[in-house]
Amino acid sequence: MKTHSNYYASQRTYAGHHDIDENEHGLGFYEVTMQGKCAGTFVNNKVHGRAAKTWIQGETYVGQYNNNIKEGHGVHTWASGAYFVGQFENNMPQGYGVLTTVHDGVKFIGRVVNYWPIEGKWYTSDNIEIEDPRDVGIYHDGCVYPSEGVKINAVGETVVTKDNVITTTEKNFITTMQDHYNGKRVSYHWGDWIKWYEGGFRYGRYHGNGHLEYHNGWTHTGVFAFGHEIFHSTYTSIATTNPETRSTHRRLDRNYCMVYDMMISYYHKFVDRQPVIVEFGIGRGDHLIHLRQLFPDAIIIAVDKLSPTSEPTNELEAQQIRDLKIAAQISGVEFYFDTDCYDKQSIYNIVSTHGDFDFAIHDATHTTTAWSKLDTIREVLSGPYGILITEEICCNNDQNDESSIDWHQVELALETGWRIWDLRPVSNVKQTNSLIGVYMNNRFDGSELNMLEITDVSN
Amino acid sequence: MLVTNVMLQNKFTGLGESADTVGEYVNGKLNGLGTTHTRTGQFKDDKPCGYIITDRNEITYTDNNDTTTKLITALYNGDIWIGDEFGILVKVDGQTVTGSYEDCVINTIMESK
Repeated sequence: MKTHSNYYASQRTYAGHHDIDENEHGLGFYEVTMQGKCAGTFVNNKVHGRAAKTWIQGETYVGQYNNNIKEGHGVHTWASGAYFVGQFENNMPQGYGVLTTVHDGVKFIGRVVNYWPIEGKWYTSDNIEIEDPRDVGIYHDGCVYPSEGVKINAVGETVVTKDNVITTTEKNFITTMQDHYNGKRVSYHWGDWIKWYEGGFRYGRYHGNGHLEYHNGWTHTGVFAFGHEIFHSTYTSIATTNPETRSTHRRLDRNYCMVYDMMISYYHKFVDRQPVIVEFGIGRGDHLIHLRQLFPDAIIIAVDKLSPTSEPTNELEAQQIRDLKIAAQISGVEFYFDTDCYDKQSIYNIVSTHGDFDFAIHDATHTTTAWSKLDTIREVLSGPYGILITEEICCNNDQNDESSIDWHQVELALETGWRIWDLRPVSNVKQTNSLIGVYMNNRFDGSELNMLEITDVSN
Repeated sequence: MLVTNVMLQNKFTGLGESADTVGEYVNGKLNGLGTTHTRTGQFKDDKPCGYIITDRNEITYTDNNDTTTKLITALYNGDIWIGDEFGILVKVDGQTVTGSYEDCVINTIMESK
């Protein structure tokens, strides 16, 4: 058995025959975590000949392959219950065949392209010809429109539009919300095990606070993250419950909250003592209040290079000092004013009093090289699972500067073990410096957000 | 993992490979996806259960009661029948006929004889 593991991607495992050069050749089987598995005949590391493949979303294909591409005859089934038997080309149904739709098993027999009926005849599930499919509520493209703005195609993919704008697309029970973060997902077709969900969405998945109900009566009201029910608070769940503050607004807007949520789930797996949470860069203290709600039993330490009594040297510092005066009123926080987070001895002093850091957030003034000065903090993370997060890593402070990211610094940071997520594609507003970096001594999975992780600067 | 007959007798469970079979085993039998030199597809207790494609590129569906339905059938003259008892005949020359297997295939063969 051979395992190909790119740490950042899904893991592929192969079992089966090889040729003399160790290529996958002959009968074989591979599985890709979080994607699916395939049994079939292989030639030179590619599926070639015939194969049976299943995907975790519930789709299945059994049929002919040509160099990893579905080509020839086959049968493809969708999780909705629809299936197509017939000719395939370019990895999709293309040519003649029988398409059994999700609409009460009504069949289209004839020529299709990617499950769209092109030329042929319609039949009921008991093979009685239907002169005009609209007589049974199906349009010639195989779609039905059960209510205003809702379109379901032949294989059960659903598109919901409002005011001519697509708000939701659904395929294999994966719902993607467009342009907003709160939504409702309703099961429009049979075969779905989820009856409905209402609540927060992030990046197309249930995320935040919500309510989920299954057809069998099971329900979950509470916190969701990355599409799953979870049983602890997350950054997002608390931030969206309480009135938005300047600091939570920024992290929700940029979707940094997803990275926090991912790391908080690791934190919950590994930290089993009173944790030490440290924030570098205090601001007005909103974030400290938020952290207290997230980590009710933690020792929370706040560090800033200024103090409420500092003499400002410019307008920015004057504002920061005014903010610090407000923050200093917060109880239950250990404040370290006039303390430079890049100074080794200062960090050691904090550690000697409170112990190693379990969760450290660097939110001090950002520069493209700030990450490289955090080695001392990395040193004092607790064991293998202490977490250090720095926002706008390798970026300057100007969120409108198209060249705010220093890609050379990104490359250097990756080389020294930082993991970096680029949240620009999912930011609610255009901000050019939405990179967030995470450091943990132990390698962690991170697959919840693998599509947004920067692994190779050349790309 | 390379599986032997002894391992199968001892109810091997996991991903197994031998000279003539590769697939998912449960209790020493193919259960899940698997492939042999003649058949590829879904198995239950070493028997086809679900969709199977053969080395002749014919596709069948077998339900839990061991009832097998042909879905893709290669005819002796090169034509392909797609469907169960109802479907579409794709002829070698590219022409197609839709209807029942009896009308499209059996009766046509009888007529040609």
